[in-house]
Amino acid sequence: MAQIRAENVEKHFGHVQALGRLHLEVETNEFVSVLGPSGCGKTTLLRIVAGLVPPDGGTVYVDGEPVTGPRPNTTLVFQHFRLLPWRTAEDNVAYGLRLRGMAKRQAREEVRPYIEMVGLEGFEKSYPYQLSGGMQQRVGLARALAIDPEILLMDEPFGALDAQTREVMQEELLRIWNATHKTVVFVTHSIDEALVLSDKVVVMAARPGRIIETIEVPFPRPRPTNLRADPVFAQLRTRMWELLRTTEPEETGVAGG
Amino acid sequence: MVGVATDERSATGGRRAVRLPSRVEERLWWASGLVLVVVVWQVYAMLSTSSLIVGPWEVVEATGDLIASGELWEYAQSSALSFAIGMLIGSVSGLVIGLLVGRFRLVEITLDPYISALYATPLVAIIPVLIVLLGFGPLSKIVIVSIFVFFPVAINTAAGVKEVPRDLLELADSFCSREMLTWRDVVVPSALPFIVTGLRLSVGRGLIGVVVAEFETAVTGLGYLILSKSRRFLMAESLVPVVVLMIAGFVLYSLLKRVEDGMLERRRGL
Ligand SMILES: Nc1ncnc2c1ncn2[C@@H]1O[C@H](COP(=O)(O)OP(=O)(O)OP(=O)(O)O)[C@@H](O)[C@H]1O
Ligand SMILES: [Mg+2]
Repeated sequence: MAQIRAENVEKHFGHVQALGRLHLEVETNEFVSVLGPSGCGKTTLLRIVAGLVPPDGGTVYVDGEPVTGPRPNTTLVFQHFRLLPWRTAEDNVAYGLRLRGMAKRQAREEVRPYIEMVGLEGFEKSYPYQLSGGMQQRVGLARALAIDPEILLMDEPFGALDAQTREVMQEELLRIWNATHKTVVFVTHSIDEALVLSDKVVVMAARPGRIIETIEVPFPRPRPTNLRADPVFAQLRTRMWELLRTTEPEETGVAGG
Repeated sequence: MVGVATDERSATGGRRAVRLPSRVEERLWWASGLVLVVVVWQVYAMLSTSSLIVGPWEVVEATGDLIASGELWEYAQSSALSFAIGMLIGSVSGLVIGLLVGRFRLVEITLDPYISALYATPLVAIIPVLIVLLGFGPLSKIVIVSIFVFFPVAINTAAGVKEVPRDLLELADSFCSREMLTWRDVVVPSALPFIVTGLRLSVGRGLIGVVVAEFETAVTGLGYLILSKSRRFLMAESLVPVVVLMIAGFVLYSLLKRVEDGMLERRRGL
C-alpha cells in the first residue's frame, strides 16, 4: 500500500487554480522527486501533504488515513528556511526536539551530529542574520532531520547551496534515507539532481497544477559517481527537459536551481 | 525640558544622513546642547528683575536643602512606590490583553471600541472621579498609573502580535506545536520589540499619572511637593521635584530604548 496517496487533490487561491485533480502515490521508503516550472503548485502540494492547508477537493491519505492536520511523523523542509530569528543556529536545529519536551541541554547534545553533518560546526551560536543563505538553508535541513521523521517533505532543500556543498548534502541525504528508511518527497528544479537521487520523478505542469508524467529511474543503488556518463541518464534527461519545456511556453527554459 | 517622545518608531528605523558624525562629535554636540541651555537659563535668571524667575544654581541649592531636610527623599519614595506598582500592574495587564487582542480576532472586535476610545480620551479627565471613588491614599495613585500605562502597552503588544510572520506560525504548526508553546516560541519573541516600545512610551504617561494624581490628592509625593512649594512661591524648591522626575523619566526611557535596539539588532535578518 502506498504510504502517501493523493487523490483528485484540488486547490484554489482566489481565481488561481494552484492544483487541479492531482494524483500522486509514494511508496514506503521511496524517494520521489517533483520537477516542475515555477508556480506550478509544488509548494502547495507539499503543504497539503504535510497537513498545513486543507485541499479544496480530493483527499490525501497517509498510511491509509485521510490527512486532517500536521502529523508528528512528517516534516517539511521549507523553501525559504523559516528560521526563528531570535534563536541561535543550534537552538533552531533543536526546535523540533524541544517541542517534544526534551530539555534544552540534552537537545543541544542531540543536535550536534546534525550540525556537523550539514557542516555548521563553529556556527552553533550564530543568529540567522549572521549566516549566509546557504548556511540558513542547512540549519533548516538539520532541524528537519533532527526529529528523525518517517516522511520527509523537502521543498527545494538545496536551492541556495553552491555546487560542491550541494553534492555533499545529496550524499548525506541518501545515506540518512538508506539508514533510517524514510519516505522522501523532494521538490527540485534540477533534472540532474532528481535523476541522481530518486526512484521516481514526477513532472508537473502549471495552471492547473497537475502531474503530466511519472518516470521510473532505473539505476541500481548505490549509484556510481559517473552516473551522468550513462547513456540512459542522458536519454532521461532529454526527455524531462522536453517535458518541462512544453509545459512552460511563456518562459525560455527551466528555472535554474 | 524633556524632549517629549514623538518617535513612534517602526522596526524599519529612521532615515540616515549620508555622512554620519563620529562618536566623539556626537558626544560633543550632546554635551554642548546641555550646557548651552543651562547657561542661557542662568543668564536670563540673573538679568531678570522678578524674584519668581530662578536660575539653575538656585535650584541646585534648593536641592541641597530638600535633601538635608529629608523631604525630597520621603516624597520621592512615595511617588516611586506608586509608580512602580502601577507600572507593574498596568504593563502586565496591558501585555495579557494585548496578546489576546492580537491573536484572537473576536477578542479584538469585542474590545477594540473601548481600547480605541479610552486611548484617545485625555485620561487626566477621569482622575478626580477615581480619587472620589478610591480615596486619597496610595491606592488611587496606583490605579491611575496602571490605567495610564495599560493603553500604550496593550496597543503596542496587539500590534506586535499581529505582525508575527505567518510563515513562522506555519513552521510551528508543521512541527505540531501546541498553542501555548507557539506563544512561547514564536508569538511573544516576535512581538517583544513592540512590547518594549509600548513600555517605553508608557513611562512618560505613568509619570504624568503619578504627578497629576498627587496634585489632586495633595497628601504626599513629588507632585504634592511641587504644589505645596509653588503655592508658597518657593520657585527654586518647586522646581527640584520637576528635575527629579525629568531625570527618572529620561533614565527609564533610555534604558528601554537600549533594550529595544539590542533586540532589533539581533533580528535584522527578518
Ligand atoms: N497563499 C497563497 N495565496 C495566494 N496564492 C497562492 C498562495 N500560495 C500559492 N499561490 C499560488 O498558487 C500557485 C502555485 O504556487 P506554489 O507556491 O505552490 O508554486 P511552486 O511550484 O512551489 O513554485 P516555485 O517553484 O516558484 O516555488 C501560484 O500561482 C501562486 O501564485
Ligand atoms: Mg515553491
